[in-house]
Amino acid sequence: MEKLIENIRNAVVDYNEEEVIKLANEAIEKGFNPVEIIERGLSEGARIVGDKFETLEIFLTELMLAAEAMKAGINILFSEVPDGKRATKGTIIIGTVRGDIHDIGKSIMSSLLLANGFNVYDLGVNVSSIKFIEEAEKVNADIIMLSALMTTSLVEQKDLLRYLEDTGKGEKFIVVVGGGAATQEWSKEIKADGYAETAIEGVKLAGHLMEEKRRSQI
Amino acid sequence: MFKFKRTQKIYEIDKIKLGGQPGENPTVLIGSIFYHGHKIVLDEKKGIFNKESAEKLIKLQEEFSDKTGNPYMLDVVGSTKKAMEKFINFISDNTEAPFLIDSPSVDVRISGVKYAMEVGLKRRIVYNSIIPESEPKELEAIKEAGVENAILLAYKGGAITSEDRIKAVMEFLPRVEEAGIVKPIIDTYVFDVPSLSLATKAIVGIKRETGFPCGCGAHNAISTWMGFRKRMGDQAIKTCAVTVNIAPIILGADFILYGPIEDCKYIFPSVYAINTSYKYLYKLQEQLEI
Repeated sequence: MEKLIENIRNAVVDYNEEEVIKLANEAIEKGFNPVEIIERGLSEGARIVGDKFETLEIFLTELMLAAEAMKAGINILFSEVPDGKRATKGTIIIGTVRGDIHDIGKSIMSSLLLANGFNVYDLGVNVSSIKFIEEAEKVNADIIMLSALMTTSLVEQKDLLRYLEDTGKGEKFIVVVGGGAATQEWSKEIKADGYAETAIEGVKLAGHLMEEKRRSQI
Repeated sequence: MFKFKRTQKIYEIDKIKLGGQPGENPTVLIGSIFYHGHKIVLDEKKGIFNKESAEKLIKLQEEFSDKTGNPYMLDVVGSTKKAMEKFINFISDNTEAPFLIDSPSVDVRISGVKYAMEVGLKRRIVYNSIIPESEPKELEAIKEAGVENAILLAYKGGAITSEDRIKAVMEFLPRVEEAGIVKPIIDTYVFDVPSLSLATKAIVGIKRETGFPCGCGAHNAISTWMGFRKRMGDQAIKTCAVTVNIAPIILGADFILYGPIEDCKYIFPSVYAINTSYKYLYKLQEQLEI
């Protein structure tokens, strides 16, 4: 099993999706523990890729390809994991707000969150508040992350929070704002739960907020 | 380098020709103006800018276009409706070239094209851009406005490879036609260095499959390369801006969004050198047929 874990980890780092799929299926055939393969193989591979991206060793395309390879493996192995043991750090809905089509920063965040053990649903760009909330409810999300690159689209972040408040869902989701137009002051003004200036900060913040959530539920 | 078996479409966007077999027509070069962070823009929201500097830049691009024979367009980028109107007025008064109406905001793009149509600029404008995930109401607004020319950006969430890009375009084309777009111009989407090759390969694939004019925003490969300037030095930015813009042209791109309009003095002569050489490959019918 150790050899397979090493190979699947390397396959993620090399963004070799075909190899990841082959090894994931092999792991199932051989009856290996899928949770271990995911954590020490796939997720560890994705973390290595995430680190390389932070240190500018690899490009965004490579990060995205590695994330796809990892997802392909997870999709196969998750089906073998009993529901109760499917632990992730949390479920996140992420997207760029309505009227804004900037994508790259949001995609980086998406890939890094996935690499760091979160269950991520990336809704893409130009996403309405209603859609964010509908999808968050559908997948029982913990966190909604909103990206806005233009000052003119910042209002969408405010609108989503207002909508949650007006519909009595203010406590249902953690809302984090980011993107080039958002600031710490802005996030306080609109009473968001957090603000992240960079993708790395966003990942750390997500982890911290999920920790707080768990503690508050004990 | 290539000759495509499929007949290649040639559009006339006002007075310029776009498309055809590689070597048949000179590459159309599109420089961006009034983009976010452009130093000639004094107030992005209100559309206040240094008119003298803007005039000089347009004239510079025109001058190089005259020298090389490469037609040019302007990619006019605005973040608010008010700013976009001011930019459109200025551009239409200071050049006869076609121009792209570009904004990260759908509302600003739609407002821009509506305004441009109202003031009689239908033949000169290109909507930049629609994507496979554009909402129906955006396409309806484009149709209602009567826009005929549009950039179709081959970007779909999750699309990474050249095949993903080609597939995204092929799936989207029927909807584009329904929106009344008579001249879809395909941009195969570059956002970093690896995607430059993937987008370039997609150009070859799309021209082979559809014959539509095709190109990309190649300059993004360098402008997004974090740490590159520090590692290689300031001089490397301009030299590499040239190389990344040339690469798709070598493989058959009909147009390039080459980046800031200031770079025209580097880009036009470089492209001219390749176009000049390719003219002879075309004349002597020595292309690789695909």
